[in-house]
Amino acid sequence: MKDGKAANNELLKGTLDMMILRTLAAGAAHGHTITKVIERSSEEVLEVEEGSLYPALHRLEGRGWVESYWGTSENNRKAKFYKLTVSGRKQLRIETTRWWRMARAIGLVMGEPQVRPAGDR
Amino acid sequence: MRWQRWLRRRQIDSDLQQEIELHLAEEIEENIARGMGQEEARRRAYVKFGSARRVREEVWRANSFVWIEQMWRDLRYVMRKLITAPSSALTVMISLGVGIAANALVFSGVDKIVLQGPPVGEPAKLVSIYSTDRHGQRGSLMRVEVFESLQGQLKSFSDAAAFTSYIQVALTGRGEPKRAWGQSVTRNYFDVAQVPMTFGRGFGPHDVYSPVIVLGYDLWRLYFNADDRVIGKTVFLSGKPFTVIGVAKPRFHGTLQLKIADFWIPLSQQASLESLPGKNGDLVNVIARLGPGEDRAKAQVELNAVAQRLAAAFPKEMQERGLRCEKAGTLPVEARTKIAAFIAAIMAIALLVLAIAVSNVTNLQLSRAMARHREMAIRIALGGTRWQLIRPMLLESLVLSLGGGAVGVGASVLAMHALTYFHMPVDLPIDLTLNVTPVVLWYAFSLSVVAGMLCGLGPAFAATRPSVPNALKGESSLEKPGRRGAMRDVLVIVQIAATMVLLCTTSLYLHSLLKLTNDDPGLRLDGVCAFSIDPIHNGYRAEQVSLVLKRVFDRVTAIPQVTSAAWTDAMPLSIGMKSTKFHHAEQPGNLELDPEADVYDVAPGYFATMGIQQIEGRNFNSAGPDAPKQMIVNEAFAHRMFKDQRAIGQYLTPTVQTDTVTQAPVGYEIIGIVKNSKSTMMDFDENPPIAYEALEQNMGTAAPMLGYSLMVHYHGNGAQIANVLQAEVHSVDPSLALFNQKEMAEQVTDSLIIPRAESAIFGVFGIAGLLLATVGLYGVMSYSVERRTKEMGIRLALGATIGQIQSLIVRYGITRALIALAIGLPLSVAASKVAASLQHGITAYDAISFTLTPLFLMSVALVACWIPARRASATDPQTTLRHE
Repeated sequence: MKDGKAANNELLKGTLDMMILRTLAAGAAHGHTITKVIERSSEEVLEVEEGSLYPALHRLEGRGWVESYWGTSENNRKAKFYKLTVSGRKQLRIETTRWWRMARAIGLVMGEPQVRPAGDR
Repeated sequence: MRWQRWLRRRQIDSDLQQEIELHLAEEIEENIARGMGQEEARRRAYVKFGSARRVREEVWRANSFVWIEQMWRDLRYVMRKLITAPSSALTVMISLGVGIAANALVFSGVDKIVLQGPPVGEPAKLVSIYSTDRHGQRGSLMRVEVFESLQGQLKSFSDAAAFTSYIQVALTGRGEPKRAWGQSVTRNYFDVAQVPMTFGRGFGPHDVYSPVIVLGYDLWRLYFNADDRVIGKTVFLSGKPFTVIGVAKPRFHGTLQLKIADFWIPLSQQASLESLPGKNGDLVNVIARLGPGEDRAKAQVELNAVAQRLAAAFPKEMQERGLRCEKAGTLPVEARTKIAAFIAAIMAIALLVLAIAVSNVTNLQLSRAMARHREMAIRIALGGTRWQLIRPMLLESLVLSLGGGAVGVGASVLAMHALTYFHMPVDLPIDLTLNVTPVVLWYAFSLSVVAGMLCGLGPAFAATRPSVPNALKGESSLEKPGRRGAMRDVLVIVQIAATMVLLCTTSLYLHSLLKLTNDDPGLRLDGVCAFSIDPIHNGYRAEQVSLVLKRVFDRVTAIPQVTSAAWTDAMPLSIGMKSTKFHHAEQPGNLELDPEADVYDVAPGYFATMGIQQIEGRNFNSAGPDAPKQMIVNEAFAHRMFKDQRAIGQYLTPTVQTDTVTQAPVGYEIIGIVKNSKSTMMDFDENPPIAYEALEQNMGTAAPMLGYSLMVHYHGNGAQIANVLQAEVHSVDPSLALFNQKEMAEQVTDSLIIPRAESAIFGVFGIAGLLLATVGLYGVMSYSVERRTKEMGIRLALGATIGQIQSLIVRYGITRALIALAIGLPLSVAASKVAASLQHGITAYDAISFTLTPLFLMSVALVACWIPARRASATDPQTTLRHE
């Protein structure tokens, strides 16, 4: 199991930024929440290494795709919240399109059944 | 954006820390909610998170400019290393500093002579126009009428202006009278030259015939005390009043290279200042400004056509003469090739000195780098890239070379300051000062950088060659004996040999300088001072001159401390007198073959004042100009003209060019003979032939360019006498300008300017070479000693005495030095032969120089070897043997 997780995480690295943006599209959240959401949404297949989360958030903020502000978490603790910006939404759309195109192409090559389009949970 | 984040790095980091802590707190709470115990919850949370530190590092790095920080870190490391080992840093900086100083000095000379032009507007468009003869030789000045005709015909030029050669005047009316040199110019001079005024204005259309004057900036500062209300004030030039209408911009001294003009007056005014007829008052130089869009080539074509037309209009002057234009302020074409060759030679020498310095420093750096080969190997083994190791070494070289450059620039500023103490023995308006301009600084800076790179690259690459296993074992990767060591030895030998040549030549020049200074000039030097006045240029007419001279003479001789005094038209040892050829009165003159003598016009008291003994005959008897002309000659001239016959009673006539003579040739009767003395300079022409004419008989025929000088023999305090003399002269006429006031001893020193300059130049290069060679030898010895510590330790352990070890090392160094001296000696002899052929009075085989110099060098080499030898013998065998 451990090896599996490690291999999965390799694939995760390149797409972490995109998934963070996707998570934030639903609403502002702080780091811990984002981790939880990604893990749960992936049915626990993906384990987000916090070591990469915060640098990624920082990077996204540097590019102007997210904004941060200090607020209070659900447990009444101080937390830093991240919110998608307008250019962030645009970037999300771009990356999503690119991702689906890639996924479809790889799927065709591998001969796997076609990946269902987004929105079809 | 990135800058903002960089500035807020710390803030971002502390925020992140907080964020991480809060994240972990949430995770722990969740774990507890899942049912884990406190400890377990914490542990799981931390494990899941991973290394908080690494996260912070990554974010921090994303907010930094990595390469800048690396550079900064390297820089701090380099500085720390240099500060802990200051002596080696200093040797490097001094070596490079010496090399760079030499180059900076030479380059500032080049800059002054070749690169800098007069500070006019748009210098590229200002040209000077002059006439050439059939062979292209630059002709003399143009007549004003020719210029005016030329001015009207020029189309490719927007305008042309003219100026005369230097007129000298005495400025009076404001404090001490002062002699100054200026030019008379056409009305549009300042417009053509595009020289703005600091105050006031240039010449306008109404000024063409008015006595107005534009002051140069330096004259305004010095003589008018930078008075900003100087406009409209009156100043007297040789007694004639002129009104000041403007002050030119700083640093403008006319457009002639190396010469200084202090003021400018309109062309028409020159005649009023010239009191003697027939002077070259109406000959001018021409400058012109190229019109917009024109260049010199097109202008030259037009000039050729204009020259033809002028030849038709002014056949006497312009027949078969062409016109050429050239960028204003450049040196004349004939001089340029010679000067260029000279400059190239000196630059080559200076660059050679720098090359020696660079090789020296490279040696030093190589040795130091080798000492760290183990450290390098370990760092490479631990994963450092080669570039990471080379970078700090290059940075170190750069820092050292920039430091050396700073030292060099500082030294050259000092040297330039020292150069101002070289006076010309004659008071002419020539500008020889050197300055450190931005161009020179830039040149020095680039040289430093290049030198630094050269010094650093080689050792850096050599030292970081990654043959790790050998290095870790303690062997240096360059341990191969023979090859690299040989190159270093050769370098040192070459340095020592070159230094020997330089030092020998220097001592030759110094020796000859000493001889010159101690030579008996045949004149009284102690207790003699002199000063000059110029009555004609002070406003007196020719007939009044002898009266003025007599009145000053009477007052001066009335001073109790004055033993005697005499007027002469040229101070001895001042290169300023005329020389003429003479022939026997009855026979025809022959311009080619007649003997030449330096001619002085002196008063009867001259010989007594100057301590020249009269051997035969009688002195001048103050006869007037209408009496038969008398002459006194010195022994050398008498011998030259008359061989063994009796000279007294014979008649001599000056041999002159027949077409310039206006009167019938005059015969001079020789009435006396005096002992020999030096004349123009203290040089080795042992006894120059001198002829003395009576001053009273020859005044009024021509105004000597340097006025008349009164030689005063006095006893007592020189400074006091100087003031008293000034007072006496001014009591005769307060507006008389005194100049050239000095003691005879000072005059002698000034007249030795050329030998002094030569000795100084060679001395500087010699000392530079010596410093470099010493440092080089010391560096080589140090390194080889260090390399052989193990060997020393073994020898000591096996029973060698300290003395033996020391002598071993010293022998090693001395053999190198001896080889160098053996090579250097014949080279020095050859060089001294060349010097002897170029310069009078230097003997090729100067025993003192050729024995002292090698001895001196040898002793220096001994010291340079002995210090490392002592260090070597101080090694403890136990530590060296363990020194793996």
